[in-house]
Amino acid sequence: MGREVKSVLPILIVFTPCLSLAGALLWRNKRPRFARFVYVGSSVLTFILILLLYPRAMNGTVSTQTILEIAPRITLGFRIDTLGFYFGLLLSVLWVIASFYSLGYITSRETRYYSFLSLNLSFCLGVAFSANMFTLFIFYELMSLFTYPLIIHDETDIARRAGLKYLVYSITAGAVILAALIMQYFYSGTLAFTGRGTIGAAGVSAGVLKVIFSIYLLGFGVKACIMPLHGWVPDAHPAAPAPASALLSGVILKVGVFGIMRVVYDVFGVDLLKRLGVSLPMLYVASISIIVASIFAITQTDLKRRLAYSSVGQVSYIIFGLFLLSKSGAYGAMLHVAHHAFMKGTLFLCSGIIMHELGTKDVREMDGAGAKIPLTMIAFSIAALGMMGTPVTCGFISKWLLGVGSVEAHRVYFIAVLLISSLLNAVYFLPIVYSAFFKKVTVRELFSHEAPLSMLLPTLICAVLVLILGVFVTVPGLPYSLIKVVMKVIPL
Amino acid sequence: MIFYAVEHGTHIAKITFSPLPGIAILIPIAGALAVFIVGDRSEKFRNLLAIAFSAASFLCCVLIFPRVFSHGRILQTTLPLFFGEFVVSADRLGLIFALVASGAWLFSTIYAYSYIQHEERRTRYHTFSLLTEAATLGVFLASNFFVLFVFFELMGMLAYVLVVHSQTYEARKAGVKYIFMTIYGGLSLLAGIVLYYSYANGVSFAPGEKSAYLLTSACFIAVSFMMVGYGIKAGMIPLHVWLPLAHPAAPSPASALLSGVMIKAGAFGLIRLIGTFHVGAAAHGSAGVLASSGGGEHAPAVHASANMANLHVLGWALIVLAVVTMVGGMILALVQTNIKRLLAYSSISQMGYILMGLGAAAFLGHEGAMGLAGGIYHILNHTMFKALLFLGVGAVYYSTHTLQLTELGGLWKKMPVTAFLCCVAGLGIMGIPLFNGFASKTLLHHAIVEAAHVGGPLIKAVEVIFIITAGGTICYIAKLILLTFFGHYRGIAHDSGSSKREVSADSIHAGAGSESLSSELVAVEHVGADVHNSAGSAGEHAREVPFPMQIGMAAFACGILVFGLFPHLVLSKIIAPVLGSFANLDPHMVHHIAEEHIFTLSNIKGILPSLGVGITFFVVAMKWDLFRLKLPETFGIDYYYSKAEIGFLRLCLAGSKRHAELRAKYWPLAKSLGQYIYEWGVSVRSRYRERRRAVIDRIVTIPLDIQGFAAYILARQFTGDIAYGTVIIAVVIALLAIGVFLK
Repeated sequence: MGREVKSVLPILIVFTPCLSLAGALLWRNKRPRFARFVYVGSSVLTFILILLLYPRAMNGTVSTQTILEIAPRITLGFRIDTLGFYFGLLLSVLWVIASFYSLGYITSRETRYYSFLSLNLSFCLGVAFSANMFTLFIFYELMSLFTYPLIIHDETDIARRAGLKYLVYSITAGAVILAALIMQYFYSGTLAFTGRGTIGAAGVSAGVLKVIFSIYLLGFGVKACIMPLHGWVPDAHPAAPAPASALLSGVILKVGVFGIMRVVYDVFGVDLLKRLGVSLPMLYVASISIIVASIFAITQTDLKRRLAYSSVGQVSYIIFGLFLLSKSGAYGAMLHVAHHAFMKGTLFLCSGIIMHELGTKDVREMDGAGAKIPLTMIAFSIAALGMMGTPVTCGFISKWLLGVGSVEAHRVYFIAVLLISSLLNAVYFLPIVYSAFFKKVTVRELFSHEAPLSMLLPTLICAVLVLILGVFVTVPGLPYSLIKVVMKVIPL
Repeated sequence: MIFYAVEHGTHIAKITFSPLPGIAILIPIAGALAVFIVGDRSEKFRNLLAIAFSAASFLCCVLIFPRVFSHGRILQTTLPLFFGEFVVSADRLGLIFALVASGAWLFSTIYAYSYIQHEERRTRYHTFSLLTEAATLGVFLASNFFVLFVFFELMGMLAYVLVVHSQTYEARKAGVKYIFMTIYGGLSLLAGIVLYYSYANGVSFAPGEKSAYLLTSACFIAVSFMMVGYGIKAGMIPLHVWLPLAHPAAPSPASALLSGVMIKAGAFGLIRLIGTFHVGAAAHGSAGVLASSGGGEHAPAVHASANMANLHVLGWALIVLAVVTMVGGMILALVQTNIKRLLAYSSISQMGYILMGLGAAAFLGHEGAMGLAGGIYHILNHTMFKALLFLGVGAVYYSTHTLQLTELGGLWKKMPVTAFLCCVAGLGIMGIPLFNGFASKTLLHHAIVEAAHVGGPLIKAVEVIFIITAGGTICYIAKLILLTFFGHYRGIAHDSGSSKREVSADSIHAGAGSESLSSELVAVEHVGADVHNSAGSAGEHAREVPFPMQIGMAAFACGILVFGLFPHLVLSKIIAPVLGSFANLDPHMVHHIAEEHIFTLSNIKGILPSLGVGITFFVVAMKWDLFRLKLPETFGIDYYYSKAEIGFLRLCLAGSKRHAELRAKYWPLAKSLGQYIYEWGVSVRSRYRERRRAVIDRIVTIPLDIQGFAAYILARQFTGDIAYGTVIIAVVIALLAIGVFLK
């Protein structure tokens, strides 16, 4: 516990995905098939390299690596603790799935797409492995900017507009985070993550701390789409190609959440936050976000827009769990990061197949889809049931832990939020499922058939993971066991 | 999670680890997989596989039976699922339910061997039927509330596929109601169990010794949430709306299981809930004995009585709900002309009986053995006769393709075996001596009389209602049997058959069972004119159903006769040992029940008033044609539920529409505000650039400049969004500032 090891692995892992840039440069015209192999291979390699860190992560050893010291106490460096490892693992798994899926889905502007996809993996890993707030901020900003080409991939007017809106939100948010960063540096003199709060020792007044906290939250809240700051989400998700929206929703929103987790656990620390009394207001914010987003989702008819609003609600589950500041709440929050990533990943990948094969993204035109693309719709149904929190899917595990967490935090009445949200989820997901399976096939879909294997297989793997995470919760290597290690450090 | 050894009278049941309970649950899952793989390639082999796997599961339960009942053990299997301690265990109460459930599943699957051949999607039916069996056995073999909840939810979700099997518009409509009620129930149950978890420090059926759950009024919140969850499944009356739609919509073997087994899961949950009070009370009680023997304080004894007082209140609530359920179900069953619907309402009414027994048991607490015995006995009986009735009605539908009482009659000549078996079931549900309903109804009657000794005149009134309801039961069952199998055949019109069938299918589902009746009867009258003209009707060709269907039905009939002819055996070998596992029940009373004589003169006399009421009802109703009585739409609670649901969706739509309107209205304002802020920002920026450079570190400035440039380009196009963001930031900072200054 608590040992630190100097290691070259962090740097290696963070820059491995950039290998695919070489593929793009060298072989994109001459040997496109090999180039594609390099794109996907680089993300698989990253995944394997991350797995090498598994033993260290399981016994709580931290791998560190400083790259350069820019100014006194402002360094660019990596530090992989178990929480970072958990994020890195999740990122790389989802990236592998999405890369394979892209092989079947992306047909135009491949070089640009894969280059930016890989760069984004690099930057996301950079965020996950960063040793201090400064490094995190740098990679976070890079990631924000480099997501833009993925969103505007189709280069339609709608996509461009959505992309610009995304940029405005992200850049503003970046400036806000920077402000908070400066304030933190100014008051506490350190930006490093140590596993417990650092800012509390500085002897700053509660008011200032609250201000810093809120500014951080405003900044990261844009990516984590807390309700008034969610504006870009319902535009960017439908505009991006399906694998990119799976990553946007599954991972990139979570990077915002990860920032908030670092703020909660490493900058402020649980005890300080309890003393500051920010828990209750944040719970209200998250609850409103959960319920209002679900209500918006009900009124959407575009499948991907509906999924986007659903993401807004589901990510707020994580915020909700975090700010319960209780043990099971934290478990639920951190588990839900992975759970939602796989559930929403499945849903977005399915929506890609549905658009690809049925040529529609209107939820009212899904009648009889289950007869035409049965495996896809089964995967969709599993993930949709997971969103509702049905047992044997991983959604249930999160719901149970969050419910128990709110009891532990002595905020019993917040269970109602979870229940109402589950119900609303049922209201907007179930009609799709049962019209797909139990209604007659409409003319539009008569000639459609199941998607190619390169798209179908990743989707099914994602769906099976939803079930595995929901049933074999405590198996070593799955999120629960990792979070158990994380929780040893966090004083809850 | 802590597992308590449960006391059985004097000795404590040993917990033995054994794979059998786990295997009993896994067999149907494996079966579902096998059935799915074989699929439509070989119809016969697949159907036989389904039968074989459900038989294996039944056999597994039979194997467990002697170990649990005569050796007094609890068999447990720990599965490495969920949070690591996912334990399925066979104690006496759970096992008897699992045994009956798996038996019912076996015979219903045998029945389905032939029946399902005239439906489509047969592989799907068998696969989901087996999966549902696994989930149902899981509910009964659950070792704590968490496991119970997991299987309970699964059972509800999986059974949805059985309910919508025919995929007609009506079946889907019924399915929507079913699935949403299941979800409401599941959420309510989850809330209840999470609260239970928090107050009882665990999800075990035995709350901890000093648990807040038992001693404070906090238990009422947890208990009422759980009661709603179980009540929805059990068809308790304000929550029953899914039942009369879903049961008729499903194919008959599935309706038999829905009505025979799955709604019992609700009652089973309530028994477990009552059990939590008993275990807790026993723990407190023994603690009290220890404390007093040590000459100490009497607080634990006080706790035990507080606990029993809570149970008393729960009993009151249950009795009230049971009366409403019993009577409401009976009245609605009387006015149905669709036989499956009639049976569905009858199920509601019979669940009222069961709830009544459980209510009396809870009401009497320590002395509640009789109510519990009656309730459990009636659950077992109802499984048999209601399953048999649904299967019999399915057989009628199989032969005649109609479910309308107005189109049936005189079938006993064509289908003698079905008619005979249905008569057995009918006599069972009526409570005629020598058939099983008699024993359980007698016990329930005793329980109410006992409760009346404590509860006074109000409970006395319940006794009268009980007798009248029993009369009503006799009446509607007589109506069902007599109009279907006896008298003369009324028949369906052959030429207008297709349009007719649509109408009757329609009427299965609409509303709370009353508004559809009018259209149904209009249709029947229309068609009735044709009936007499057309000679070649389906009834002419009706013939006895295939052999597997007869076996399936005959097995239930045998059960009815065994439970009816040897009630003493059932009471002493099954019911009394089960009651023994409730630690706080008076052991003398349990002993008394084991020795109870059912066929006494006074008991047989006790049924006479009901019989009189029933016959009077029947004669009067036939005379004035009251069976077609049309109730107003607003009579059914479902009407209001639907209104509320639609209202909610409208509200959502209106809300987001209003949001869009407001946005459109104030967007130009925001935009000009943005313009202003932007210009102001530019001027401020140029003025303070120099000073800022001095203040802020150089590293910080570079990204800021890059951002500033990007923002400069973008901001011109997105002044509205910027203003929106700025206002939010400003508001938050202002709020914070206020907070800081106020402090």
